[in-house]
Amino acid sequence: MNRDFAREKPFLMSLCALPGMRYRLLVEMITLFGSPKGAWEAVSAGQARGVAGEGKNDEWRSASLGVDPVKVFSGLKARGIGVKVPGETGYPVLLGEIDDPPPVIYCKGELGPDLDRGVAIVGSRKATSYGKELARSFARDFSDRGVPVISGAAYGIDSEAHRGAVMNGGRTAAILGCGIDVVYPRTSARLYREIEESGCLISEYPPGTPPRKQHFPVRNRIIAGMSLGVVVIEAAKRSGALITADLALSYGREVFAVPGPLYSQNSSGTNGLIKSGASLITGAADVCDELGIRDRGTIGRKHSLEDEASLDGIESGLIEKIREGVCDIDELVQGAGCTPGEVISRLSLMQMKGYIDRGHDGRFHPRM
Amino acid sequence: MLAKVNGSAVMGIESLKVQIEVDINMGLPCFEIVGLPDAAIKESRTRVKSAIKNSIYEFPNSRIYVNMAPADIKKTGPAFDLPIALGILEASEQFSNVMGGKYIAVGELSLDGHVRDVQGVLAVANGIRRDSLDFMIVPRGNAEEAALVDGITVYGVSSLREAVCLLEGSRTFDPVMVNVDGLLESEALEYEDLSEVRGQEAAKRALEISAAGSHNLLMVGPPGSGKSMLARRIPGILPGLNLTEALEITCIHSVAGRTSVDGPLVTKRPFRTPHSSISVAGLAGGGFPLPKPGEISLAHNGILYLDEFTLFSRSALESLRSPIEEGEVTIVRSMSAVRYPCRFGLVASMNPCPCGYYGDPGRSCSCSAGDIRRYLNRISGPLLDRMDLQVEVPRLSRYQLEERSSGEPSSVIRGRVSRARALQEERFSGSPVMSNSGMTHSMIERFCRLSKQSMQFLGNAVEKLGLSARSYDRALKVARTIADLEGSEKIKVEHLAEAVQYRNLERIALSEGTIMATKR
Repeated sequence: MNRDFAREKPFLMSLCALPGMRYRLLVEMITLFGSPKGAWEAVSAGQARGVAGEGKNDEWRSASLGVDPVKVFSGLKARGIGVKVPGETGYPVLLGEIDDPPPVIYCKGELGPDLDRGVAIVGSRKATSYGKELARSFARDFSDRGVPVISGAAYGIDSEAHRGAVMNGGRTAAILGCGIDVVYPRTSARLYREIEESGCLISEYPPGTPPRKQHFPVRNRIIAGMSLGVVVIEAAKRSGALITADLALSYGREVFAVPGPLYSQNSSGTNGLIKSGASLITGAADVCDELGIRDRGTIGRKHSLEDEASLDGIESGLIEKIREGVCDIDELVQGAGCTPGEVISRLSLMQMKGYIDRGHDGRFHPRM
Repeated sequence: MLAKVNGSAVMGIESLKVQIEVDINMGLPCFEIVGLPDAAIKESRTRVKSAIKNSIYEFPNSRIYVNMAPADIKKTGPAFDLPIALGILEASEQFSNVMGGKYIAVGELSLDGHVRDVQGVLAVANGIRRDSLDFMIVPRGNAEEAALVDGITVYGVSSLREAVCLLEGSRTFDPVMVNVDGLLESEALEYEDLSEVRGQEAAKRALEISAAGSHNLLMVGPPGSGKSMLARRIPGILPGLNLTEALEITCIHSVAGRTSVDGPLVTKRPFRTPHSSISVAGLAGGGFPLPKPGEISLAHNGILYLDEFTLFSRSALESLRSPIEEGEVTIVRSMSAVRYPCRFGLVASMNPCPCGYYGDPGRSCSCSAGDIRRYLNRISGPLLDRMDLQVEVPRLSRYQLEERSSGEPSSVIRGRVSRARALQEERFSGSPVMSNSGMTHSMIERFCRLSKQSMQFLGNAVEKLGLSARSYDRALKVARTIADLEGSEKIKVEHLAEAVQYRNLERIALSEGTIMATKR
């Protein structure tokens, strides 16, 4: 689509919001009617039969009844919702390069050019503490290097990735499977606000669109398309993260996978990716090296672990065991030579110092 | 002629003396009972009539009026059969009372004149002492229970005829005596032992703290991890009952009609395990016409174990909130209000997700992330907040089980718990609070004074671990108990550090937004 249409953005936007509109169809319509404005007028007049077919033509005509694209557009602007079309400044350049870019995206927050050096972090919604910790620490390390973190704002890995970036003062973009003004999952309202403040929310669906099952695999192409590479932290065999990885490959993006325990269901997808050729990575540095992102070196590691020398014998014994993968309190108690109460108390102190963290299953795991 | 006999109405665990007046007049035969009797009392006409006839007495063939005073209180149950029958016999001058009128009689009559056991006799016996009456006549099966009350004279009778013989002095009866202290001691306490559970050190530690400070405990773990096994062993690490506690329990169970068959006194701490389908009335107490104690009161001085916590109806769970804080529950009806004590230790267990295997390394979980949230959401923030100790119970593989040690026997833990309880008794003497968990905010300020360093630590911990402001007080109470277990007067940093670990579930729920933070 060419640049001149940016002026006719309201019409383009309204065309895209028509039910069942697809990229190819849109291009065909605009070619036939000369401009988005022309196409919209044709739709409202019910003259799109030739391109859309009988059924769709009627459906579109009734959908366009009473809609004034210009008014809708200025209404969105007033609500702080931005609209971008391919080719326009602000529309992610990388995204514009894929074969079916969203003809229009809605956004909230700042959609800067730095997003074009972003890396996506995706993974299971039902993540383990291991996965969540990794997502957070990868996001943190990317932020330190000035690399925006792109993800899907879903439960689990997605949320943790956004959180990691937000907490570290980094940039992050969340691609939604619903309208830009719909908070899904509802419990993430606070996270949404934080993402909007330190990055942006992006959606190709018109405001007000409820989350639908079929939206999520489709929005995954935006995640893959917008980023230089996709890091899959944890994914089960049939995870949406694997769809994102496949799309990324088809767009020529790098796919990175973090290995996990062989018995963990949540790592079977990532381990599978590695087996079939994805780069095995053990840190954000690996990703940056591979993608040629230079460490800007401006931001130091904000997350500071207190000096490990301050730990006493029992504590360093405990942390060593936890790093070896012993995470259940029974086993920690057995070798520690003190009572369960004392062990729990020490673990608590180390958790506060930032060496370890505790997951929903009560197991302790090391922090990176 | 007119005769007056005392009966007793049981309301909650209190009893009220009811005067039964019987007046017999000439005229067309009739038998009327007035003074707000319920259906069971109206039916007693039939039982009284037959019982009198079948006990070689004569049922007067004249106008009989029975009045129960005070007349504005609803009277229920069959326990008025015996006093009504005695009143009729006295009014028709079939015997003359040589024992005086200062007594209470309770008992249900069978048609052949035998006296059947009734509920709530202990509550009635308490009333004898309060109203300074001379003696009481109770069914033989209830006599020992009534005799538990110190300093009252109890006669047990097995038939209407015996009751009459007692009152007219034609036979001598010995008052029933019970060696109360002997009952408490003789009972061999047979509880399952904690050393039968292998591993689970963290959970066992939580059990000990819970027992020592009467803290509410929530266990989260996959099926088969041993949550119920652990819970069942809690009574074994609690200190033995003292007489007051035992009498309180017996009284409630007597009112509910659940006194054990093996003795008049309940000597074991109750361990109640209601099913998750229980109604609010079943759990908190209720029923018609007079509310019966619910499971929370039956668990008084013992443990209320709610397995599958999340499957209980939301209203049932929320009904627990204020009884947990108050230690008693008041059930209000339009005509009356009944109060039942319910100082129980709440122990709850739940799976981490609907299928049960979320986070289990050995089996994969089949729930979606949304399912898990909705599941955890069933426990409201305020309720989760009241669970002082939240502990994860991992499932151990067979191999791991063989490896793990069995740990200390219950008797050793009970020793520590008893010492900690003794400290608390001293601390709270003269106040209604019994244990650290019941401390009010001002008590926390008085008894949980922290050094500057400890205070800083706790503030830091709440912030860094992302705990709610309310968990501050909770953690302090738990830390107080941990210090008591150690015999330490001061609450040290390590006590606080351990205490904050028991709020992991709330921490996770807050960080994931499943529950909202509540302001202190």
